[in-house]
Amino acid sequence: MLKVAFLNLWRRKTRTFLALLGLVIGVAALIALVSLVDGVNQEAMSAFSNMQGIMVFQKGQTYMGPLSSKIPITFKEKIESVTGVRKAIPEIRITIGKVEGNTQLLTGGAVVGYGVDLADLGEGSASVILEKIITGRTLRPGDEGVVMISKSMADDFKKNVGSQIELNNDKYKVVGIFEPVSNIFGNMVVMNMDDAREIGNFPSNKASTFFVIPADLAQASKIAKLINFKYPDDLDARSSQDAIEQVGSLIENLRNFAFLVSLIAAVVSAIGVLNTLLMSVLERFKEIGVLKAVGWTNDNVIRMILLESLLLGFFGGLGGVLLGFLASEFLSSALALTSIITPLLVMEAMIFSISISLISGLYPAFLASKMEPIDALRAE
Amino acid sequence: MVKKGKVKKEERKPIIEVRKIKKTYLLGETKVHALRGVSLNVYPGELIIILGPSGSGKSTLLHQMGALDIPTEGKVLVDGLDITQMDSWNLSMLRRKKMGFIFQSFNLIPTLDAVENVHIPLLPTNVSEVAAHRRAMHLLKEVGIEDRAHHKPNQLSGGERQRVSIARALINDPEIIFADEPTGNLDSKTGEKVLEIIRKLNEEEGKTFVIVTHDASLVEFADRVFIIRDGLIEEENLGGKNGHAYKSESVELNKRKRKK
Ligand SMILES: Nc1ncnc2c1ncn2[C@@H]1O[C@H](COP(=O)(O)OP(=O)(O)OP(=O)(O)O)[C@@H](O)[C@H]1O
Ligand SMILES: [Mg+2]
Repeated sequence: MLKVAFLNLWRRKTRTFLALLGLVIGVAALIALVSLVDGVNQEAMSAFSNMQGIMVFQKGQTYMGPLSSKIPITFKEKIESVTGVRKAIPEIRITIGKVEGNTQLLTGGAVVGYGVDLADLGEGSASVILEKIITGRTLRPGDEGVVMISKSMADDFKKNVGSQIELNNDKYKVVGIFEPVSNIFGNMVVMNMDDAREIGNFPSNKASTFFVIPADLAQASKIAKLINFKYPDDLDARSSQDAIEQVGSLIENLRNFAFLVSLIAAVVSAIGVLNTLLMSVLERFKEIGVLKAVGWTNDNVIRMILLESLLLGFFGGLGGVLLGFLASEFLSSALALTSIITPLLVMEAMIFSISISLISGLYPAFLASKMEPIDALRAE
Repeated sequence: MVKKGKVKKEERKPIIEVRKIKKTYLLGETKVHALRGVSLNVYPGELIIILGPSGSGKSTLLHQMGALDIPTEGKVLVDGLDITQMDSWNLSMLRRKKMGFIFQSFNLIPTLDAVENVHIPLLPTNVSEVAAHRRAMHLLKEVGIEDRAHHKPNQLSGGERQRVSIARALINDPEIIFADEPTGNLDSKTGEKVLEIIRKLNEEEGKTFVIVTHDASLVEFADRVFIIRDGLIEEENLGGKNGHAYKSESVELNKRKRKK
């Protein structure tokens, strides 16, 4: 039966190929989009789950990220006086417009400078990178004019431990190179807070954000609310759990959107499959009549046509997974994003392709089952 | 001269009983009466021939007998069961288990080779593909074209194609085989070979045949010959098997057909 179904598809290669192409593109779109969303999701989650604490932004500047937020240093004591807060660490984030005399893009490949009181480095939001040092050493309290840079930055500018690097107009010495926790952070330079102020021309009485460590991590969400309640006009505090939830739901929406886009592609491919099978059934009405004359039942005929649509779905899915894999690789390197193709996604894609195909095969199969042997024989 | 021999009442139970069937087609507003009250019995082991002019209802009658169609009026009993009361599944099963069909234009599946075409009726059954294949090869040998087993229909001559379709009709070991102008698309020499196969199957293996044909030569091997005109059986004659010399009369039959 499988062979007969296969040969039926094979006899009109071009038409079958076009139906397959539709499926392949639909499935590839699904794989490429969802794998990117899944990749971004994983990045974001690992980035956030490494920051166990509360990030305090300037009110109204959260959406631009820490780069646009500015909070007077005096808030350090105010935040630390909130119940349950153990420590508030001021941190500075700047974009570095010029590296080695070259102007840097402010988006995508932007170089972010990260300044922190080196005594607090081990507890601040960048503490995780201390475990990710590849070569050299971490910064120590008292270090001045020295920086740690991320691996991607070292590669981009061909720097090593001991090299000089020119950030805006000043030269700094690289003492350590680290692997960033997540690609989201891209090119990153970590330095002493005063150096960051100087490079970024950042006001000395302000910080970008405060990283707040609660006495009890489990209370982080509550403490964030408390801070917001006390300083509603100045501060916006978010615990990492809140952020994870927020980003999680955003990503969930993105994933659904990716499915929706693929669904549109699916409708197009379903029309292709429907057209192929419908034409093939109409062309074969005589053969189908003969099969019934020699003892095939309606169910047998339905099964044969559905088997043909199943084959289309299977091979379309297979091709789609392959093309999707390539597209996903290409997009992730072109957009500098991570993409993940999980076995679950591959399975979803196969099920997606096979069910579209089977559904499109229902009507042609029904039509074939209604063909009477007598009509086939009369057409002599 | 055609002798109007009354056929001896058979003791055996008929395989097929056709009882006063009428078949009326609706062509828009007008009614076409293809069969207008036909009755006949087919007994096991018989070779029956249906002759008649074009449009007289031969194919229509064959289709009603072969459970391919249901008459407008009357009954068709196969092994005593009324097929006019059966649903399409039971009709399929009846065709699968008891009947074989040979068509004028062979009706082979172009994508399958000869042996696959022969065993396609068994594909949906629980006969294993290996067993089906073996039986199909055996049948191809029986009809003398086992060396063509792996040729596609378009690589076969007309006579070879018809032999494939005879083998296909035999694959389920049917009790009765229906053939609508089996030699109609063949030249007289290949036609003769095909008829020889049919004769052997009837005489040596006892297969029952109902054959619609213009081909007079087969009348020689027939048990009975029905002549049908305008949807009615006009004559029922004994065939050559029963000692009737048909050679000259068949010419007359053909003449009559041409007149119409
Ligand atoms: N589906 C149909 N609709 C309308 N009329 C039909 C249909 N099928 C057959 N007929 C008519 O019924 C009559 C008998 O047709 P049938 O095919 O049985 O003739 P036949 O004896 O087999 O002729 P031939 O020798 O040409 O094959 C014809 O007048 C034909 O036009
Ligand atoms: Mg006919």
